[in-house]
Amino acid sequence: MADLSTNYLGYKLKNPIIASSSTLTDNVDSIKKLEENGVAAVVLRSIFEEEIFLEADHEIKQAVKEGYDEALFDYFDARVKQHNVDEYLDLLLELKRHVNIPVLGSINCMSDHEWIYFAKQMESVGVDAIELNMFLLPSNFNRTCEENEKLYFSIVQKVLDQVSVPVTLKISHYFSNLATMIINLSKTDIKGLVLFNKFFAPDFDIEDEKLISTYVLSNPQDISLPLRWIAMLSDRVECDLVASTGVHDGAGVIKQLLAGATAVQIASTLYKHGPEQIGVMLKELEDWMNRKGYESLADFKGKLSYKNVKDPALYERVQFMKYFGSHK
Amino acid sequence: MALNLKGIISPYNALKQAGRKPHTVQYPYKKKEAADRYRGFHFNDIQECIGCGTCSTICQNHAIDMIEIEGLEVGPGDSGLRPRVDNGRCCWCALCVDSCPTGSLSLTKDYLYVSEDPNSFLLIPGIDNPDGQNRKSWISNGNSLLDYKRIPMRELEGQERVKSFAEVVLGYNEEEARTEAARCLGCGICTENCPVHMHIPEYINAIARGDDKMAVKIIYDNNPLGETCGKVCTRRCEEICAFTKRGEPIAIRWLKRYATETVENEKMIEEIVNPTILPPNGHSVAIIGAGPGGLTAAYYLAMRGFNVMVYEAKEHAGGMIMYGIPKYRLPLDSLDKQIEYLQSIGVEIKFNTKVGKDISFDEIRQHHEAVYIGIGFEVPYKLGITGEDASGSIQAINFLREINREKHIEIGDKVVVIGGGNVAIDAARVSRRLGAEVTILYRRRVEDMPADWEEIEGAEDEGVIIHPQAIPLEIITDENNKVKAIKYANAEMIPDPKGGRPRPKIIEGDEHILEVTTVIGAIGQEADYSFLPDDIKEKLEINRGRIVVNEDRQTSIPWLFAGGDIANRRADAIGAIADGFNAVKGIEKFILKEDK
Repeated sequence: MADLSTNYLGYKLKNPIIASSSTLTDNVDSIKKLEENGVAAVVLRSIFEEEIFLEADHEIKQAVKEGYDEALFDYFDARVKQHNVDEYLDLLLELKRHVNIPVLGSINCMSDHEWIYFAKQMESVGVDAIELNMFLLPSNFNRTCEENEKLYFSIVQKVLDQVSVPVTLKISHYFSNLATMIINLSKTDIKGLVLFNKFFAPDFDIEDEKLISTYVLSNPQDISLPLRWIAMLSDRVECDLVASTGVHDGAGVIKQLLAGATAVQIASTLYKHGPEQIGVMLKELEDWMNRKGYESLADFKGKLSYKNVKDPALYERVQFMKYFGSHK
Repeated sequence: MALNLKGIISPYNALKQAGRKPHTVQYPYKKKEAADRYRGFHFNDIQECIGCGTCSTICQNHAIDMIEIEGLEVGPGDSGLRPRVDNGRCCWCALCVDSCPTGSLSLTKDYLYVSEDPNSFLLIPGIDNPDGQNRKSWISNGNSLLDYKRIPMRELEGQERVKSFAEVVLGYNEEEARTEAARCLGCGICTENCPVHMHIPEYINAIARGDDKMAVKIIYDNNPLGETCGKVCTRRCEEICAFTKRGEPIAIRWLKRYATETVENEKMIEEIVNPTILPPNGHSVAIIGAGPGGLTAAYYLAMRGFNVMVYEAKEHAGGMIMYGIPKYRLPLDSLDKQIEYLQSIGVEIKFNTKVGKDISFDEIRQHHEAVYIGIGFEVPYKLGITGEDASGSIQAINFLREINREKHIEIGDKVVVIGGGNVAIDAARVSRRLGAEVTILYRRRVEDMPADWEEIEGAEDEGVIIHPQAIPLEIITDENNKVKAIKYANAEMIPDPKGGRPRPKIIEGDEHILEVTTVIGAIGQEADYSFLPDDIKEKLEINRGRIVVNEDRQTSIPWLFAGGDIANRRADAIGAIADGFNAVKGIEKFILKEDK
């Protein structure tokens, strides 16, 4: 029987499938179901500073409409924040009692001092690790790309200075020099990098002429972006790489492991097929390993990475000439 | 008798003139302009007028009455009435103009009006003659009979204050009180803004005529903590005093303070108020929390013959007025006097009895037919920054409570207070009295601070430094986890396009470190409802941390009433007193209706 275990963030995971941060990971019942179906670890739904701010703002506006004096709500956002943090910490504590898999807290903030606060709060209740879900949309016209990128290092360092639990970083691909950025980030004391996060994508409803969200869930084709970068960088980084976005089946898991990922994070496929999909994916992985004669993940991890593949130039190609050429 | 034909024909001689040009010229009719100081019809600036009725009261000819005007937008401090003048009675003395506190009423040069309808001589100035605006002849500027300047209150000087917890405000003496009271027009506009609708003109009038005892008796009509309000009331009544349009409002709070302070002890209060206490009616009510709301409800329920038991978690009654307000604003002996009086007429208080710990809520419910909750907001909001749990980082509400209990709190020599409300100011001023240098970090502008402006000024007089638009980022600690400094960032104010308050936004990179020995958080409080059983919590409607009540302060559970911070939108003592007072009517209605 093939050994599916892997080591990530200092924990031995029973297999490489991690439930990524989503609404499926914001309550005990749902997480217990994921565990029952074989997931190796979960990343809790992110605590979003922006969401807290918007909630407070909405509450205050409603209160003012009802005739309250706005000054009565002078620091109401602090209350909303505390309630959100308390709920999050309660969930973490409850999970400690009910599940046996590692539970990662996830943070997404707008202001840099809040990252540290949330991280320390999570550590205080015994979170197993912290994932910093960082995405600074490069749309601030007043900040240079260098300043933008520096912010990542500054926040990571501040959090690392303050907490002792393992810290992992989930990022986007929006960088002027992604490869260098990933390599340099891996040289900090973070234990893992998750490539890449999926975020709100805007679209227009042309009938109602309003802004809407689109592509809420990923597709299996979306795997190619993280696959390329994991394959290119897995041999060069100084921390674990975890693949996220586009992993929908056992084949997706295998591909990312071949590229050099330590584990994969899944969410969309869980929304589409339910938690039972984890068992399906694990079975596919195991069957493939048995068919190929692999006993452990280490036997094939990174087999198709930049270093190991015969024609690594393919990873660096950006045009379609060869693809179309071969299909003439 | 001979017929005189000449006499018959003569009138017809005039016909000779028919068709000839007249010798005189008729000029077209021209209205004659009156002298500039001619006292003609009234004009009233409808928007400036607040309908106080002073003109009507003072008119010696009873020529003015006050009527409702259809379509008039009425805000706080406006009765919605406007004067109507019977010009058949008016003698144009202009006494009404000279005593109009807002200056809205004037006389014009217009004097000519002809009509066969006697009722049409009733004119509503400003409505019936809008063009009178441009023809004013007699306005009250310089002629006003009113005194727009209040008698100033004597206070301890700033540097003297910080040496002790002695009361800052020294109070009016008799002469000052009489003079100030005599300014009052008695219009009663103020009563509408007072949450409990105290009989303000009546007690001020009593002071003015030298009857302080009557003033006290009137104050106790609907407020058993009049002396407290005389010292610390947020005095919304003064905000809308008729004088505020052109001068300083009547010092309503200080006059109440004067009157109530003339009574030395609870025995004297009892003699003066001489309350009518109805015989026991056999019904029982529990009050949870001996704050101003709970005490008020207990007092008036006891007077109506109810058996009332107040359950108080602490060792002293008063709630926030005891534990939250520093003694330099509300001395303990003053509060004691008021509470002892309430106890003397039958209000029973079980001290050191925390509901949910020393007695269950269910047990209270079993022994009483109705329950009033007035527990206040005692759980402070956390600052939500790193280092908050360090030694030397404390909450203002806990700090003030311990200081008021005369406990020693070590704060060192440099204190920073975070927040902009009255609690923040109190914590800062208390810290000054303990000898520390104090800085308040507030994230908005000074004008946005919810604290009373007098308190803000008082703090500044005492040497408190207010640093507006400063957002705390982190409390820096030493190796023993003791507060060493606070890191904060300066903020810029971003206007709200939807018209709300401007928001502070951190200015990137504008970070500073301030060395401090103590950090005091004062950014707000909320209620602790953990003592309520789950089934009650499920049925109780709670919105934004506040229990939803109707005008009788009755909650979604008919036998349960609530008031004070946990149910109203005011966050002050007088709001809680009003809730307690109104709950009495609700409780009475609920229990006695059940009886029938």
